[in-house]
Amino acid sequence: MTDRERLERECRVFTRLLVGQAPTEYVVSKYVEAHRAATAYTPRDRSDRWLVAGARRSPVAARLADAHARIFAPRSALRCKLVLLFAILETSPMHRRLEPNRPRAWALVFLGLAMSGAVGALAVAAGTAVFGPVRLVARALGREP
Amino acid sequence: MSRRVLVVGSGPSAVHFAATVLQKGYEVTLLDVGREPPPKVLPGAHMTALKEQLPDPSGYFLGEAFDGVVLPALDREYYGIPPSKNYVFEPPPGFDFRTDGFEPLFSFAQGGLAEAWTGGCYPFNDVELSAFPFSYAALEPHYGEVARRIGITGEVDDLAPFLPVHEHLLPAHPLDPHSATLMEAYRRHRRRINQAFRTHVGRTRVATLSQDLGERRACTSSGRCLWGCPVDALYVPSQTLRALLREPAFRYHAGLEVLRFTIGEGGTVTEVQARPVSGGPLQTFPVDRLVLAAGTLSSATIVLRSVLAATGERVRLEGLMDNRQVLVPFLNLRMFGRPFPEESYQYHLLGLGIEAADPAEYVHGQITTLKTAMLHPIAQQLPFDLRTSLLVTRALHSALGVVNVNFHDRRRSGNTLALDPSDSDNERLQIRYAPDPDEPVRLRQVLGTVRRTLRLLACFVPPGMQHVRPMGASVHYAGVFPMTANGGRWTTTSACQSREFPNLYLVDGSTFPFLPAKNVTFTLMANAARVATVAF
Repeated sequence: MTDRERLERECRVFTRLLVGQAPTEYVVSKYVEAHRAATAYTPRDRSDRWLVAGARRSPVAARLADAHARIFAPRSALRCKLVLLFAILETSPMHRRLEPNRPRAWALVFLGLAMSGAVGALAVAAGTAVFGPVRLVARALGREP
Repeated sequence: MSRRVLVVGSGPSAVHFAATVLQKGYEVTLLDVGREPPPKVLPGAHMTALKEQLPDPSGYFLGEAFDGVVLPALDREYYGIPPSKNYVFEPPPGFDFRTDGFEPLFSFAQGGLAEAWTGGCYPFNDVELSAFPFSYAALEPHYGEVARRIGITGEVDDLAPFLPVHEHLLPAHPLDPHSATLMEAYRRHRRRINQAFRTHVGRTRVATLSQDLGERRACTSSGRCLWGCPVDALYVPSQTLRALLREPAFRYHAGLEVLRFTIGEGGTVTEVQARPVSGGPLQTFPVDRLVLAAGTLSSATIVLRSVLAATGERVRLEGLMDNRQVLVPFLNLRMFGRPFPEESYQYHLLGLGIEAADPAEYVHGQITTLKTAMLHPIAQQLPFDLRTSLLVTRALHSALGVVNVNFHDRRRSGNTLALDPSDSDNERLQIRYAPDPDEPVRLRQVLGTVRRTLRLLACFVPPGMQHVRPMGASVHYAGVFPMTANGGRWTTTSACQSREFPNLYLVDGSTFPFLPAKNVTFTLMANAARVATVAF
C-alpha cells in the first residue's frame, strides 16, 4: 500500500468515525494535501506510528485509540490527524453531517450528553486496555534507528 | 512653520492623524510596509453558504498550508488566525526580535493590527485619564469625530457610567437569541449583580455599522467577521487609508520599512531612512515634522535605532504595558436544545464591567456568544475522544459563549524595550516584561466575580477551561514615551511631542501613561485626531 493509499484509507475510516458516512473526494484530497503541507501529522516515534496504524483498522479501533490518546498522548499524530479531519469536515460541504443544527428537546439534550459522557468514559477504559500495552511494548523496544 | 508632515505607519493612529491634518490644509506623506489584504470572496454569501459555494472552501478557511487548523497544543487558544488575515502579521524580510515574558504581535499591513480587531470602542473616562496630562473633556470632541467617521453602535445603558457617551453613536445591533437570554437574565438579577458583585452588563460599543455610512453597508449578519467583513460594515483603518488616497495633498509610499531617522542640530530630525522590502538601496525622505504612528513596539524601535546611530547611546525605554486577557468559556443552560443562528453578527454584543476599589482598575469583559465559530479548537479540548467531543459540542453549540476579561496595566520600570546588544546590525528589538506581582490575587478575585455573575445568568463555567492569555496577546501595547506634564527623559508633552527631538511626535499607544482595561484602539484614533488638532 502506498502512502497515499494509506492516507485515503485513514481518511475514510476516520470520517466514518466522526460523521458515520464515507468522505467526499474533496475531503479525501484535502486530507492528503494537508499531510504534504505539514509535519504535525507524521508519527514521531514507534509508539505514535502503532497508534495510528491501529486506529486505521476500523472506526471502532480509531475511537478506542483516540480515547486513549486524548488522555495519554494528547499531542500525538493521531490526535492531530483527527483534529485536521474535523477542521476539513466543518469547512467543507459535509459540514451539515458534522453539525445538523436542529432544535432538540431539553431532556433529550441532557440524555444525549449523559450517554455521550458514559460512552466516552468507556472508550477511554477500553482504549487504554487495548492501546496502553501496545504503546508500552513500542516504548520497550526502544528508539528506532 | 512648514505645513508638510511625514507619517510612519498606517494603523488607526496614523490614518486618523493624517485625516485630521489634511482637513487643516497640511501635505501628508505616509511611509508604510503596507501589506495588502487578499480580495474578498463571495461578498453576498453568509458563512454557511461559503462552505457550500466556494470551489475550495477548506482552502479558504484553513489556508493553503492548513495553518488555520488549531492543532492540539499546550497553549490553548479558542480560535486561530484565519488565513485571510495572515497578511496582517506577515513581517518584512529579515525582521526579528527577542522577547522575555511577552509574546508580541507585529503588523506591517495597511491598517496595522486593527485590521484583525473585534471592533470594541470604549472611551476612557476621567478616572482612567487621571495619569494623562488632560481630561476627558479634551478628548470628547475627538471621540465624537472619530465615531462620525467610522460608525460606532451602542446604547446608553448600565455600562454608560464606565463608558462615557459621546456624539454620533449609532443604534445598537439586534441581539442574537443567546445574548438576548443573557440580557433577560441580567434584568431579572440586576440588583443583586450590581450590589453584591459590583458588576454591570450592557451593550458593547462596536465599530460595526447598523446602518449604511458612505460607501460602507450596514452589517448583513453574514457571520464572517473573523474572516474579514465582506461588506466593510466592520471598520478597519485601511478603509480610511483608501479614502486618504483620494486626497490630492496625500502621498502614500508603500513597500518601505522605516529603519531610523537622522538627527541634526538641537535634536531636530532631518530625514528618515527606509528600506524597500523588495530589496534595493535605502531611501531617504526629508523631514519638516515627523509623526511616528507605527505602533508602540515599531515606533520605539525606530527611536532606539536612531539614537544609537546618532550618539552611540543604547537607550532602554521603560514602562511597556499591555492588557492581560483571560478567556472564560461558559454554557448558557437556557440555550440547550436550541439551534444556533447561522446568519448572525459574529463578535461580541454584550459587555460586562466590574467596579474596583480604585476606579481606574475597572475590569471590562466582552461577552461573545459562539455562533459561527470553528468548533474543532473547542471539541479537541474536551476530555473525550473526538467522536464523543463532537456529539457534546454539537449538543452545546448554541449554548457556548466566552467572556474575554481585560485587566488594566501600569507602567513599571522592569518592563522595557531596548535594542538587543547581541545583534551586530543593531536593529533587533529586545522586549522584557514581567507581570505585576499582585496579578494572581487580582485575577483570582475578578474571575471569581465573573463566574458568580455568569451563574446568576444561568450559565455554567466548565472547570479547567479558563485560559489566561500570554502578555502580548491583547496587542494593546503602550507606555514607553509617556505624556507627562512635568517633563522627564523619554517622555512626551501633552501634545505627544518628543522632549528629545522637537519636531518628532509619537501619536500611537507609546505615549499613554496608563492602560485601562479597555480596548485602546478608539482612544488611539481620538488622541491622534486631538494631537493633529492642538499641535498642527
